[in-house]
Amino acid sequence: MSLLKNRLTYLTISFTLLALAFPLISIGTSQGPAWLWQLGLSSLIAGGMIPPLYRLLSHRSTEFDEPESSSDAQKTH
Amino acid sequence: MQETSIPINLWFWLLAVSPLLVMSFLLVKLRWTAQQAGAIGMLFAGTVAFFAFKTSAEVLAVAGAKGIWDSVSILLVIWPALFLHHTMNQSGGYEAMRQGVVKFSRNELFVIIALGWVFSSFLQGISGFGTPIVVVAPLLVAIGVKPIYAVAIPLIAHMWGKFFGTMAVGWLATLQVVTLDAPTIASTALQTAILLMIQVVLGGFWIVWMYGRLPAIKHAWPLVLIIAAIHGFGQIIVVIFDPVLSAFIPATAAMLALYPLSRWRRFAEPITNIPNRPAMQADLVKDFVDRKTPMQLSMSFAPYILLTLLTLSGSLIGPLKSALGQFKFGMSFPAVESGYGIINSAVDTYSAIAPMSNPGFFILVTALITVLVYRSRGYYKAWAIESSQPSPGLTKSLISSAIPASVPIIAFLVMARLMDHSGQNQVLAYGIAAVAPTYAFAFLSNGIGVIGAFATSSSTSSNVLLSDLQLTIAKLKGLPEATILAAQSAGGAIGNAIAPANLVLGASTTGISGKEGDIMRKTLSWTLVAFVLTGVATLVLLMLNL
Repeated sequence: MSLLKNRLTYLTISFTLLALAFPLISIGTSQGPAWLWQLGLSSLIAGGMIPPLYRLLSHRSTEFDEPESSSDAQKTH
Repeated sequence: MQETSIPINLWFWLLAVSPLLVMSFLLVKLRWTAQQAGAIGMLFAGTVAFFAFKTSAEVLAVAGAKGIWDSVSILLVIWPALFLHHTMNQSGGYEAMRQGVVKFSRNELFVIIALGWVFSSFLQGISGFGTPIVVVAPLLVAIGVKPIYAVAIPLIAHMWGKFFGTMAVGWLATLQVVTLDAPTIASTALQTAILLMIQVVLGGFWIVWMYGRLPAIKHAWPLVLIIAAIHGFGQIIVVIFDPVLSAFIPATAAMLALYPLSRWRRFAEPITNIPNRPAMQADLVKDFVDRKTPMQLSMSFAPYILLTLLTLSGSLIGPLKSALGQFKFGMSFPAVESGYGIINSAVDTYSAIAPMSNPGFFILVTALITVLVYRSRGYYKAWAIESSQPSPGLTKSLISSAIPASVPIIAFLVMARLMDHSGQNQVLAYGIAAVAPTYAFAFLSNGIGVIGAFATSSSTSSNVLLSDLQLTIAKLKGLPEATILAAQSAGGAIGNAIAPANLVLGASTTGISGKEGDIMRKTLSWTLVAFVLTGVATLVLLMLNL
């Protein structure tokens, strides 16, 4: 759970799981074996569950609504 | 469009629309981030599909994987665009540009119209896939526009070019999925261009209103009417001869018109009579302390000129276009069928992507050349010293902005495919058609396009998914196919203003990731007004029987 405390870390895990799902499902459904697409679907669901899970698990609600700390918009001025 | 055995009733219609409603509620009302709201929308669509629409796990998996693949063409734009954005930001390019723009015109509103409307429309004419938003939004921030407005302004202003933009990719894709005779095709193109005129005029006045309410309208109305005439009438005229160029030519003409318009005294001098400017966080002329920039205006604009030249070459030079499009790839999927008989055929290469003819390729080449030139001239080091901010580095900046932008885009497009493969989209459209009398359906038909674009974040996808269905219903109700298809196409363009992926694109390049709901609040009202006006115009077209 400590990994999920960092916004970029949890989003990177989520992104990786979502991206991984694509080839697993494509190969698994086209050529088999079936467990490959089942693994891909699980990866897709897990990747999708991470962002809302982060919101529910974290108690520091103010973090959610803040824009990224490295606001480029402000840096330009 | 295949016949469906899904019950068309209120319960199923509510179930079908629930993923979109839940996602919008979380995004706009509860202000969840796009990552969180998008993921919930995706999981919700999958749950509804599985439990209510008899969609098996394998169908869900195939739909999900196709959705991930659909997002790749957008991600291919946003990653290079963010790379270019950080390149400009960390080299002092934006500051050089702002100082140069002030010399070009000291009229803040003129500059906003020039960048936010005219330049974004030009980019849409040749590029698309979100390029106008990711390029223009940070430029607007650089001249003092609040980030939320900096995204909303180009988002609203370039919608008119969505359908016939990107060398008419939406139009060509639509013709692939419907069967029409030549006169109907010509009539559809013309009526679409007429309906898009609403977005031209409304978009222009809306962004001026956002800038400074009624005093801004009083100041800028001649400029808005001139640009609107060039864009709107230009598109109507060109579409008669060649729909492929019907957004590009007027958008380019408007770009050329900017120079003489900037010489007009009314739009050359700073504005003094607009006291309330809600869109601005700083004054273009007064509130900036000019810092010594490492480069001149020409060097700061050079990447955008290069980008324009590369994109134009890739679109208009036939041999180059075909050479770049040679390398394509995609993956295969088997045929799948839901329990309600929604069939998706097997494909050897699903939605093949040609990465080198994607706009992202030209942005990437531009960004790489820019980095090489700027680095060789020492701009990064010079700007880090001048701005007293240590540069975080391009790679780190890119990853920390592109990953948060990529997750929701994938989630939104997976949600769209889940809704498509389970039959939720069909229920949405058939449900509206079932309860709406003939003319009410005609009025609402552009709304179906809006929903399609909102769900898929793409006017092209909206048309590919829904055009055939709209034509089927039009025939059943005895309505002219050309008018209904035109309404669908116009609606598909309108819906992009609230499309979550577009909100994410803009938010990520203006440093307000997580504020997508706030941007949607700004664009939602325009979307609703454009929908109603397009509905009324559709009825007028029916009466005129073009």
